[in-house]
Amino acid sequence: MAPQNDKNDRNDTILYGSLGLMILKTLEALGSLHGYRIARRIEQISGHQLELNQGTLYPALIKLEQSGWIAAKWGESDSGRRVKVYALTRAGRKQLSEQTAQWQRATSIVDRFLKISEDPA
Amino acid sequence: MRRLRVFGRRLIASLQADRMAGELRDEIASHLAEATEEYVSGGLSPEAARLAALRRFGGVIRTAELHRDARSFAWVDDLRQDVRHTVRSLANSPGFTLVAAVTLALGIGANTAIFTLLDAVVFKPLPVPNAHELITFFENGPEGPADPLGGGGRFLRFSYHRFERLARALGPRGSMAAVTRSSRLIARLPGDTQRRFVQAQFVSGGYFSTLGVEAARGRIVTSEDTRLDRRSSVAVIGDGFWRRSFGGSDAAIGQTIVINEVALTVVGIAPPGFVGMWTDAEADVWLPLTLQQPLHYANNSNLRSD
Repeated sequence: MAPQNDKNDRNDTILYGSLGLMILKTLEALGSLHGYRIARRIEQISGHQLELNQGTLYPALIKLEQSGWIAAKWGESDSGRRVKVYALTRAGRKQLSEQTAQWQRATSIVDRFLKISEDPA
Repeated sequence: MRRLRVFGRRLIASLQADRMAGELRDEIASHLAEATEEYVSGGLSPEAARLAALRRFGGVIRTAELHRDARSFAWVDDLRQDVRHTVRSLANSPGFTLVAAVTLALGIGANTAIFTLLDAVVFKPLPVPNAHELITFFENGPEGPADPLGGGGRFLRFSYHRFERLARALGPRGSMAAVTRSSRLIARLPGDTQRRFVQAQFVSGGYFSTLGVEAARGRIVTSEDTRLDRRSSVAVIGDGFWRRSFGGSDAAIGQTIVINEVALTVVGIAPPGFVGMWTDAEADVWLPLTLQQPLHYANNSNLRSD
């Protein structure tokens, strides 16, 4: 259950930078969610390959909120607990499509590099 | 635009540090409770579930720190806490606070006093038109260079005859004027039962015309007032003195004021803002230089020798 620390270290740098994008995408797909649900959802979608400390989610959430891409308000969880519920805003939707395009461009470039270096020619 | 909004929100968050921290604490507590519940339903004991939830979360205090750095300007919050801490500790030791406050007050007061003097002597422009065209005459004495600020004034002194000779030598190329430092003289105004002090300056006949200063009311001191063959017992008073002592009334012109037991007629009022050439010692009245002897002005009473 507990994450392997060395695995975490390897993943963190790239993945932490894309955490905001993952949160935005998760909220687009599922609508309003509270922090724990977002964390679990990201773990599920990554097929449990990505096991960030769940706490790292909260600094990322406040940054997105201050940028105006997500909105937060206090609500109730399924079990009736008082939780902060996050939802994508219109600006957030726009940001998501921009960041998605950027990310895809970046990965395709890196991809091409990796293929060249594999090429014996 | 977005940067501006983020800046504004971070600033607000910095000022509401306690509220923001409290909200985060509540949010983390809910998170841990939800996680614990899920572990319990997965078959763990409540204690083990709680520990597993904490482990999975990965450091509550560290998260709170990262959250604070992300949402606010840490220095604003730090400053706020420092100020609060400082105020509290000052309140706990009033003796120290008093000594510190008095020390600061004296230090600031001394600085202010020095700056006020410097401002008057060095920085403040003279209250006359074309002040840059004015030149101060002084002599290097045998004991060293003259003091151009007129502090001691020793080498700024000229006899009246010497002054007249210099003025003649200058001829039509310019005009020359002389003025004494301010002196506190004893005065009695119309209706006064008690005597008062006035700041008086003795001026040569060309003083006001050389500076380009005209009377706001009445007339200024002219060269007719400083002829050696007759005494002209007149006084020009300053705007401030006029307002304070004559209520700003036109009736001041022609009134008799007694200075050092000599009756003088008020002939004019200087324009507002003109306080004389010694900006650190504003004048109440200007008197003809030739009245020095009758008024027993001791500083420079020798009108005859060179």
